[in-house]
Amino acid sequence: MAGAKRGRFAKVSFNRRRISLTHIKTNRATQPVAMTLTGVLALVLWIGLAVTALADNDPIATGDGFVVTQEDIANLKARFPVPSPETVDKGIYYKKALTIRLFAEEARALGLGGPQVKAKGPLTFDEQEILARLYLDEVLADWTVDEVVIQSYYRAHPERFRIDPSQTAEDKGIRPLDDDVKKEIREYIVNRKTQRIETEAFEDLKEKYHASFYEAKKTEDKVK
Amino acid sequence: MTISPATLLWKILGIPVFLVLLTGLACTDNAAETKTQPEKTAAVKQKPMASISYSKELGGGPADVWPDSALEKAFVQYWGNRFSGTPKEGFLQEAPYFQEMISENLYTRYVGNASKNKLVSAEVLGLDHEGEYLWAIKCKMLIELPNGTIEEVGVRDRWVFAGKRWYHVIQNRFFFPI
Repeated sequence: MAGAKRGRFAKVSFNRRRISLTHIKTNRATQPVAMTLTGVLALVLWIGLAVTALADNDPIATGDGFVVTQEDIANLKARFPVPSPETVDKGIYYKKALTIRLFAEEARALGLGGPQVKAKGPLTFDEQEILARLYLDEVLADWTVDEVVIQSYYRAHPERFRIDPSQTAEDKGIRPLDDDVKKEIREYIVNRKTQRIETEAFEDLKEKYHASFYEAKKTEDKVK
Repeated sequence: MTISPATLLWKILGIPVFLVLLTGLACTDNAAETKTQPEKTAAVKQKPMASISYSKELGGGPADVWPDSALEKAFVQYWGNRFSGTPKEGFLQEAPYFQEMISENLYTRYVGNASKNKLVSAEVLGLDHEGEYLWAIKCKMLIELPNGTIEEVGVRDRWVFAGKRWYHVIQNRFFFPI
């Protein structure tokens, strides 16, 4: 309008230098938009990384002095791959991960891994697996099998203890129930019930360490 | 003529109250009778197999058949438990190695359906000495199914002597691969 004063904004907003069209585009309408988009992208990337990191640390079980997380589950799946992992119930992995942790913690407490392990901080998955195995071997080795159990097996299966397989039981070609045979029978029985022994040990340690599964509130994958 | 409230109340409620009391007494008697029936049924259900018969080919009586009277007693008790819906007692009669290796839960599922049937009779046909402490009892059992039909089942029942008593031996590699 004729005679109207130019406002201070009008003075600032207009750049009288001769500039290229491209420069006009980045410096005018597009520059704020580009900056905003860059910022948003960076924010999304940062949030994504944070969520991923947090997901790995999502707890699935806790006990006295330890937490079992999704990272342990991932390690377990990587160590023991199955042909169709999507068909495996997640509860199996959760229980196995907690079993390994409980056995490892108990092995460490018993000093099975040596003094350096006992004094060590958080255990890696490899260390947990080794300690868990040591503990289970210890349990199996100490498992008591009653004399009558061994005797009943020996007497009920004479055909399995023939000295010469071609002979019949009436030929009395049966090995006597000596220490070697008792040891064989004991090992056979313990091997056959390893799964049950492991389950019993798991239940005992679960109680000892006050361990329990952590039910995810935000997902539908609840551990029974 | 005036009637007192108490009289009026009695006249109105008297007969119905009397009838209710009479009905209550009758129901009480029925309830008592009903209560005893389940007990009688349970008692019959848990009654072990009382006796067994012997094949004519065996000739003599039980004393000539069984190597040990305790084996006869254990045999009768075991099959009585098997058909009476008391799997726990049956499990305790299984061989010690069986009890050690097989869970009672699995065993109960294996024998659970037997209680739906009724053991009509068991005839001992003979005994085989399979090992120094191992005997096989050949017998023929008549079993009544829930639908009323009678089935004849041949059984080769093994028993082992261990720890100063007789134990039943299950040899079913499909259910119990031990």
